[in-house]
Amino acid sequence: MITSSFPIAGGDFLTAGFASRALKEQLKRIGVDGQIMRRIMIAAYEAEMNVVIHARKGNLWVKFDHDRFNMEVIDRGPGIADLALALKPGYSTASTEARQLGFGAGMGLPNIKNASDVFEVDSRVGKGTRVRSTIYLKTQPVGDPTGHCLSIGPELCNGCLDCLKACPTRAVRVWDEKPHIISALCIECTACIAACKRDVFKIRDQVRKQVPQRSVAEALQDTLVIPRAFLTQFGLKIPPRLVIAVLRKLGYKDIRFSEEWEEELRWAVRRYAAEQDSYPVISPICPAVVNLIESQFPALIGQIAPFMTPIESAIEACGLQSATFVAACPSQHTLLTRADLSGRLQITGPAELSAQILPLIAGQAGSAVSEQKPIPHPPRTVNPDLVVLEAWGMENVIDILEKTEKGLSEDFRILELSACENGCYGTPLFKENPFMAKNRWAASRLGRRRQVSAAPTKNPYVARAGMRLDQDMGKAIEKLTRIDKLTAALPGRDCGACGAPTCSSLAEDIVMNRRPGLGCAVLQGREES
Amino acid sequence: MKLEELIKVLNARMLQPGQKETTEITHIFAGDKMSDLLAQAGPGTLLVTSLANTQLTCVAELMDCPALCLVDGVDPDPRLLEAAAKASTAVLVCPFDMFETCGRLHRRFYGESHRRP
Amino acid sequence: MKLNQVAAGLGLQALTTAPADQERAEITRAHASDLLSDVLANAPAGGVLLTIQVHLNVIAVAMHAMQAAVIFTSGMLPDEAVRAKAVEEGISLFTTRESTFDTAGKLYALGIRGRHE
Repeated sequence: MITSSFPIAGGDFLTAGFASRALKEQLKRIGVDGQIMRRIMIAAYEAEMNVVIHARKGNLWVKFDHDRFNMEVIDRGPGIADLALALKPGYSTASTEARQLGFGAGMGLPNIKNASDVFEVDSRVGKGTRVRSTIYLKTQPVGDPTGHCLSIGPELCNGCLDCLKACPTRAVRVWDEKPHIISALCIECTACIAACKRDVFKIRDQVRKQVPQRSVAEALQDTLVIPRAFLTQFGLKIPPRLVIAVLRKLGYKDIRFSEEWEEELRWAVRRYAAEQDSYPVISPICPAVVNLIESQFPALIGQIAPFMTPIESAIEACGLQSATFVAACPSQHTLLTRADLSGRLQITGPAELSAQILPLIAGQAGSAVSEQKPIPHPPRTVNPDLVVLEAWGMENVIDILEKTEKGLSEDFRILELSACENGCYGTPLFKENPFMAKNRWAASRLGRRRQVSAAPTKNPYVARAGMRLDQDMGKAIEKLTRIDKLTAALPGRDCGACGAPTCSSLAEDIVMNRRPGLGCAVLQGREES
Repeated sequence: MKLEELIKVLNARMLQPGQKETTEITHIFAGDKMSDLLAQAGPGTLLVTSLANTQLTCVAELMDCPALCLVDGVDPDPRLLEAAAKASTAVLVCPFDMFETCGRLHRRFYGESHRRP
Repeated sequence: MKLNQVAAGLGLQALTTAPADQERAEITRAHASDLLSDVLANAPAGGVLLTIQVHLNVIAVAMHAMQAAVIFTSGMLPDEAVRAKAVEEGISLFTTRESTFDTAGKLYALGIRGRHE
């Protein structure tokens, strides 16, 4: 546990930022990185600048526990008369001098709040203000064994072990009749959700961030981004056009489809691939597949075309405005929650949104809805030499990636790999058959062509630590040797009785100390007899 | 795109060189509100701004942002340049206004057609 | 290029209905800034203003600087009071989800320039 304190001088715009910079040095030494570092820096800098802009003097205290960062900024200043107003984005009492320097946008407290996992502000007029922020250093608080955004309902599990076999990265375990997901190995595809017939795996309920109160006029400006598959979920009698009409009734003026960005990405990748001279180029069309490559095929990272996944491009396109997204799978859900530092994105699931509109649909089936004439797509030239391989299903995808590593797929220019059947139509969160759903969409003749962009990546794709056995190469090799020895000593039946999908997974669990008391029931049985 | 490629179209003076000759820029953001610059700055970002105060380098340092482009031919406070040198942040000054600077950078960054790739 | 052609070309969302003569106003200049004092001092008359500032002062400043229109970027939306004031003062308002950088880039591609050229 580390505690530090940094003084802040009010009104001094020259030395301002000193405390945040000193904090950053500490964070670097501890090894905090990436998105967590950004959030801490935003919270610290905005809090420090509030003191500089508004108070006479103040102090930044930080405390690091093993799993969380705590920050407290206390100042002697005028205090805040109306806290609710101060928390409203855009409201600022900053001086002209501060505004001339680029401050006073009125985003300080809202930004700190949204960067934090826990946020508190108290103030007394004439005395001062205290801001407290806690940011968890891991994606989950310690002790929570589930994957990034999946929740597990162990009471529903009947021990069939289908999930063990289904997971493409062998991240699922069943211990004490309860399924667990090893976060470091999970790529947030949909395999476990699809495999389980008893709905044990679900996407964790969205922790509703407090979205600032918006007027009705503003709320109606909300954009809704859904996969097209959502429109074809309601069966034969309720066509896509009716679903759109109902969504409009609910209040969404602007309805967009995530496939708009998917299609734009396809063109962007084709143009990019035409300029490359080594093949194949891998399209980042499915975030779960990107996660898979980052975790298990790092050698192929350089071949991923440098664009964001379609859902990320859609998020970019929303700019600073509010929007509601339907996440079709856990990896989309995680991308949405990570992107949302300002509470402007509402994330909902297919089931949730369906539940909202079903009451409005009832009784409307079959009523006439105005015809939407599609605007013809302007022709785009496709280079006939560009051979594109489209494939889906994690088994296929893994097989193709393994062959790509060995240089056996160079006859394909572009690989478009998805975890789910027919792209998002095949996610298990939608109940309709993916082929029927896709056809119904095509038959609906909806989908005006809109101008969208495939956004280039802001941060390059990088290898994930997840699979690595140890930070230290020497230790990792040692562990690998022990795993191999142990695997050879196990029966090799991959029966799953121990709760791990394969004997080598059990060996890895034992060497990595993932859980006390692991052992092979088959071996023990043999020893006893 | 490499920073040195981008700035060719700006007639810019490089007042501070930054960490390496060939910094890769993946994202360009233009604005004058410190909160926005803070939120947008990142390891591959070029920030374009009308501001010229020392807090810019602070923000760049905190968010690992490699390069700042100041517009309107402004002469920044020498303390800004000092701080930039310590943090290895590149500082350029461009004689054009914000709009013109963005226009030229955009054309260079995305190619002649101005279409995003 | 005429204002309505510019709006169409960039896919801008109109927030006010412009009178016919305004729609046909010829736009050759633009200014990008979030600092109102800078807009007052430097924005070329008859041009369009790009900004993320959505408060009431923006309209007054745009009027004094004789801007033909204000384009709010990054999806920023003014509230009803601001919109009403703009209508009163005869200033066209638009919004776009694109950033200031990208909007400037696209305007530049249409031949619109900053104040220097």
